[in-house]
Amino acid sequence: MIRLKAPVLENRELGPGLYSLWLAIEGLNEVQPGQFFEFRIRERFLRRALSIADQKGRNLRFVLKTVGSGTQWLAQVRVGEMLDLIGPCGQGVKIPDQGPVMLLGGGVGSAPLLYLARRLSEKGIKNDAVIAACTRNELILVEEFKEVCREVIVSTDDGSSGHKGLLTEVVRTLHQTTQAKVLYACGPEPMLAALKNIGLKQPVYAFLESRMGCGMGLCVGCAVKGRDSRYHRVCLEGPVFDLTEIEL
Amino acid sequence: MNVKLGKTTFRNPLVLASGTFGYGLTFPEVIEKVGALVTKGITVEERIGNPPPRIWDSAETVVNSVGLENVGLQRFQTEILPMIPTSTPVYVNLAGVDLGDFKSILQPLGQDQRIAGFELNLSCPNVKEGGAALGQSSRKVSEVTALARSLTVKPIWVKLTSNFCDVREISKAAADAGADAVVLVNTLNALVIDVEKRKPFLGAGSGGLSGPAVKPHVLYIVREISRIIDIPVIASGGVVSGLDVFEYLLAGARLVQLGSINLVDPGAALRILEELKDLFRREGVNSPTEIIGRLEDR
Repeated sequence: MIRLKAPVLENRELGPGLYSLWLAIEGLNEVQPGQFFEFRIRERFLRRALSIADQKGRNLRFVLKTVGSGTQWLAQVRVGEMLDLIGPCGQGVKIPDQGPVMLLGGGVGSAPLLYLARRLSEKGIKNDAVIAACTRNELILVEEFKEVCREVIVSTDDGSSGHKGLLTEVVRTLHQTTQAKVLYACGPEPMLAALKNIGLKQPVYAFLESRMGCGMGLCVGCAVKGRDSRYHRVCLEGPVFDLTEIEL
Repeated sequence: MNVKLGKTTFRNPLVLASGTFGYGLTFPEVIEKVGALVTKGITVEERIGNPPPRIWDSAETVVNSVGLENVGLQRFQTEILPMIPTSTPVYVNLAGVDLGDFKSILQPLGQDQRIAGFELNLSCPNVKEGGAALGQSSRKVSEVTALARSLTVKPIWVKLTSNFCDVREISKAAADAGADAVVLVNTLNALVIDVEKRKPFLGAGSGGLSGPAVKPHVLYIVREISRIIDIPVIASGGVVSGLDVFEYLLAGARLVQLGSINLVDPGAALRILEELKDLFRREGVNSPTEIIGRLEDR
């Protein structure tokens, strides 16, 4: 984990309040899907965590959704601007040895799964993705997923694109779900909580988002309760957890 | 940059504050450069801490409600102490509900060679029992400090609160009961509201405020208290720069803790130390001792 300054190569709006940033990272060591960087922002005292959404050489992609003044500031950074980052933080995903793998992305939560899909496809592991959002214009990165996934299934809560219904309802009906050896999910907490209860037999790993203090395990600000009733640090033990090991 | 506090000499006045650097097991390149490190608060039994969310921030504040999550005395002794840094004096922050708790911790740890000293946490705003409830009463501050004094010859710092109490009285109580220094101050009581839910935002219902916004308040307290007690004052409140440290020294602090800024940048202490050295050069100051408490009247 290092602190570095990284120039913005591209800032593109993907949908309402959704932005994609490409940054050039000098001296980048290997990064794993699930890992994140802590971004210094102007409007808030603490950094904001963004997961790695994709990689091309020394360039990393991050996708953010504006939720407050901090992310709004980050959404407006211009090409050439230098950002202050710390990372990579957190434990990455251990890439499974065999597939097929199923990826379940809800809203902006699809972003970190894209990088996982790319790493899986590089390793020759088949993976299918369900990309879900509330409505059509909030669907992100669908074309990119198509480049690296065997199949990409789109669903929207309102039916404006792809299957109609909540991601968890759609997942239950898909034959890819039963075939998958392991599932990875990232999305809003209600989606992850619902996934816990649909009786999937395979392991499901959840990429968690949390309010973080430091992102480095120093402050214990980003707690998630485990099955053992203890709190675990999303930043250090996570952000990827076996869904059965955590309480949502 | 040396500073003396009692019989102890610190390599510089910077101290990593409790709760912002874990148990000192990471970032050794930072720890070896500061004057001292204070561990996360230890309690007799393990504590799982408060429900999330535990942290909120604005441009100049952090509000936390971690609630003294820690491994407890036994695991601290078996798992943490053997790994504790030796490159810098480590002060162990102790928290408890009553005298019995402090006795239970200080009896086994009081003479441990790996520990430089203790910081009694009589000021945590995020626990229902003990913490600030002890620190708001000068009688209880006196009792806990005197008990600690009887159980260790190592330096005892007493970390106090300015919430709902007279800081002058509790500081005097700590000094009279044998403390080596008072640490001013722990986080300030704070409430963050989630308007949509009509509820407090933090899982614990309230939290403790820190960050640059508290600095003027804490500077004032440090100046007032350092004038009326005859033991050293250690400042803790919103330091983000070498200039802030310089101000606290002028106001009367002998050591200065860095807290919230460590969460933004774990290497902040190194930058702040360089800034302080630059400032000393520019101001023609040779040693921190030359400026401690030298704030002039208007």
